[in-house]
Amino acid sequence: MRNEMNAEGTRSLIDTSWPASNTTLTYLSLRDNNLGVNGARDLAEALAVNETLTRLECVGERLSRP
Amino acid sequence: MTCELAHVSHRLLPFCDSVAGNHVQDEGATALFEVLAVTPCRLEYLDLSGNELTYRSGISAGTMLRSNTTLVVLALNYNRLVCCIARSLRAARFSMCDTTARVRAECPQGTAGVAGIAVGARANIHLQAVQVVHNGITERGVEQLVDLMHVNHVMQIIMYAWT
Repeated sequence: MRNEMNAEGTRSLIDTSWPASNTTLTYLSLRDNNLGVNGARDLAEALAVNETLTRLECVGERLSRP
Repeated sequence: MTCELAHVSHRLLPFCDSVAGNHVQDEGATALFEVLAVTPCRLEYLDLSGNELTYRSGISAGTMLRSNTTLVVLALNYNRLVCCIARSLRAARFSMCDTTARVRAECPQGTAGVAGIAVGARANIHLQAVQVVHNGITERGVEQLVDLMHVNHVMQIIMYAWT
C-alpha cells in the first residue's frame, strides 16, 4: 500500500513513539512513504539513541526498469 | 561456511507501479550510514532499495562497513550505484567490456561506489549479505564483489549485474 508519511510524519513517529515509550520495537518498515532526505536524517538521529531496532526498511517503490 | 553467488531476476523482487517512493537520496543515506558507523545500535538489516542512491552512497556505505559490527544484511537494490551511463549503454546492447571502458572514460567516479562497498565489507566480519540488484554494475564491479566473497567466506552477494 502506498502511504505519504513524508518527513513530517517520520518526525512525529519518532517524537511520539521512539524510543522512550516503545523500547521493544525491533522491526520498522517505512516502505514507499516519501521520506525524503529530511526523513532519513530524522531516522538517523533516532537510530543514534535506539537500542532495540534490528530491521529497518526504507524501500522506495519507484523502482526503475532497465 | 557458505560462499554463494546468486543471480536473481528482478521478477523475484517485490515490485509495484506506484509513483511514490522514499527519495532518501545520497544525503539521507549518508546520514544513516554515518550513524551506523559510530553508534552501538543493534540494527542488523537495512534496506534502502529504490532510493536514487549513487556512487556517493556506495562510498559512504563502505566507510560505514569498516567500523559497523551489527549489520548482517545491506540491501541497496534498484539504485544507481554505478553511474547511469552504464545502464544506458547496457540498454543499447553494449558489451560488458565496452561498457566498462566507456564508464571509466566518461565517469571515472562512476564505479567508486561498488568499489567502496567491496573494500569496506572486506574489513567487516559480521556482514553476511549485500544485495545490489539493478545498479548498472560493470565488469570491474562484479570482479570486486566476487573478490570480496573470496575474502569474506560468509558473504552472500545478490546481484543481477547488468540491469
